[in-house]
Amino acid sequence: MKHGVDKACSRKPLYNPKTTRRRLHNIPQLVYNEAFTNNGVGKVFSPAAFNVAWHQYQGHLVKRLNEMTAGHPSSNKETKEILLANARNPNQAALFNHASMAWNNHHFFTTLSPSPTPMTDHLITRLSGSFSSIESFRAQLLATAQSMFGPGFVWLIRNPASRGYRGSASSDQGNPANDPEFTILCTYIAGSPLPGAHPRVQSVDMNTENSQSVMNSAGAIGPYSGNAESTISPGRIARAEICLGVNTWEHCWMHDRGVGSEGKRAYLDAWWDSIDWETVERNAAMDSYGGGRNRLPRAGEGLYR
Amino acid sequence: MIVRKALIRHGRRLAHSPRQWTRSLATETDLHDLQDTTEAIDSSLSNATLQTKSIESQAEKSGVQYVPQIDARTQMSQQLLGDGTKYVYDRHRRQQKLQNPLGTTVDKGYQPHRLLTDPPRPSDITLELLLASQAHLGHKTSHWNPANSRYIFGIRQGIHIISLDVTAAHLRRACRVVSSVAERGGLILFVGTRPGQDRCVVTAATMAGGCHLFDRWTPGSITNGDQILRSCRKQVVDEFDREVPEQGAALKDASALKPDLVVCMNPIENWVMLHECGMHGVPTIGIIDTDANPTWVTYPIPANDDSLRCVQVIAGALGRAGQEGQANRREAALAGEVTYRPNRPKRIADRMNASPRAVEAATGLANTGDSGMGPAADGVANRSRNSEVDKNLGYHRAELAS
Repeated sequence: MKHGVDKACSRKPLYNPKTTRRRLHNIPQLVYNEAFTNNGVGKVFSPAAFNVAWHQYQGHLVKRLNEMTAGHPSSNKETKEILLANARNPNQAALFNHASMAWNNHHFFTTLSPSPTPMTDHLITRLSGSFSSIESFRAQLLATAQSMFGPGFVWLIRNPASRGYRGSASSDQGNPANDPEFTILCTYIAGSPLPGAHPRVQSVDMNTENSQSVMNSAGAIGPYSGNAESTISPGRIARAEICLGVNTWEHCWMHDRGVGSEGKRAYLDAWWDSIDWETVERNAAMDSYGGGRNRLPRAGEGLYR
Repeated sequence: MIVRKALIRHGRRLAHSPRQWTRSLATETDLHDLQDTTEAIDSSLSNATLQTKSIESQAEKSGVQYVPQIDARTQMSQQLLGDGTKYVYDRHRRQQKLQNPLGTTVDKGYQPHRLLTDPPRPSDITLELLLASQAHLGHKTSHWNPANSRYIFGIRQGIHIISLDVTAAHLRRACRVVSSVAERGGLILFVGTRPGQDRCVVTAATMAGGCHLFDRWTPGSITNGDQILRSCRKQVVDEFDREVPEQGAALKDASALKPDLVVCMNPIENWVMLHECGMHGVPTIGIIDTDANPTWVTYPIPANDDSLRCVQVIAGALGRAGQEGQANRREAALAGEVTYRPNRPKRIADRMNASPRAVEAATGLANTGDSGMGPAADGVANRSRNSEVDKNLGYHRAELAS
């Protein structure tokens, strides 16, 4: 039996799906890909650093995703589906990590622009409601990113179920400090800000935090909990709008600014100036939509025209 | 509903008093009393049912009946519009659309329906596409037609393998023919009578502005068209495809139309039609498998006619070519240029006198009657087999008499 097994193993297969299969995952095309590749991203990335942070790193993630999903019946799933499906599966942690990093990295680069648009007044008002002012919001966001040790991401999350979301920014009653509309979430290493992947949000540094022995969520929901007006039914995962994220992995800022924390700070300051706030508003569902999206097809707009 | 059920449940208890039950259980019973009590129980149960029904009706009457109003524009219940459900759902769908494609771009691979909804263009013809569509698979070697030897690459597992570079070259040539005929206002008939070929044939005909046939070809539709197709509607159109009503009277005794080009997906079954086309000088394009006769069609495409995917690829490419030709024709018309020679409807008597092998310019076969037709031109244009297609074919639309 052993001889037969050895013989079977030593015989080279004619068709190896891992090497000869068509690559299903490909590097996504950024809107400003050409501009970024030639000129870099403002003062954030030089062309060489952008090459490392996007082309090489995203290419590496795509290659690993292809290798890990080769031959599986679910190999044509999108990246977000993959990471949501594997967030609770520790056996597929590597698959989750790569899918989550691919999603996070792509999201980060979609919010950058060579000619960034400024914040609209509406966004300024809503952000000021949650953070008391834009300056304090900026300071809090960058300080959070600065204080994270090791690789990770920092996100701006908008919670539609919060009391701050439902109330207006001007009144204090509608926007309590303990349930603001916008929050800052940091995800260490390859943690995901998506609500569906909350087991792998990795928002705390496990080396410094005490692990919770009992996960007790009694009293968190229901009519006698703090959020009596919550519209979320029990057991349901709340929605969240992931507006903005910054990649604080070392390979992003080390190339241009060195390994020290001053380099990280300079990188974060430069990143703030390259944020395209129009994209952020679109992610936050705060832009005026529906102008042309839901229109009926025009006359003569047939199938083969 | 929950309220209603609760009422029924409680209603049964309330319908008869509990004392009746306790009385029947507690006291000693004799036969006479037992019968009485069973009758009483029966009557009380039936009473309860009646009362339950009346409780139902009372519940319906007393409660506020909310009939959801339907919004005329969005065809949705007002309740969903009013409490923000639709708004929240739309927002959620929008967010999903923004978030879902992030990470990597996933290649979807082969999706069968896309061959019909988004067929490949002549520029998309590659050997890889033809190979994936099984266009290279011929029949058993003993079933071959030796005239096809020039198209065959070799033999594998007992079947002939068609050379895909030859297939690609012939398919591109056929696409050129179709687009040229369409550009000059020609009427193209797409024929595919095997089961499953109907959708691709209709798709291709729609794109090329021609006619389709997926049922049996009626023998004599060309040779005896005046008899078989006499009830088909004819119309005359101008260069902008607008019907010209003044010419309607002249069409009363106009002869039936013949197609300017016939594209056949299964020539073996439609040999009668191809024979009629040959007799009347209608050029044909056909998918020639290793067991088919390549001389039956003017422009053979050596490929696998048994694979539906292959047929859909070829029909799609030819349809797209026709679409390009139609677009060019319309563009030229907008620029003031008419790409064909105008003609007048040919009378049946004139047509009967003409030689059947002569080419009749401006002919078309009316299967659906929806595209413009103009019968044969005056006089007979002789066409040799080697002449180019674009010189003599396609001008069948009468120009508006200025």
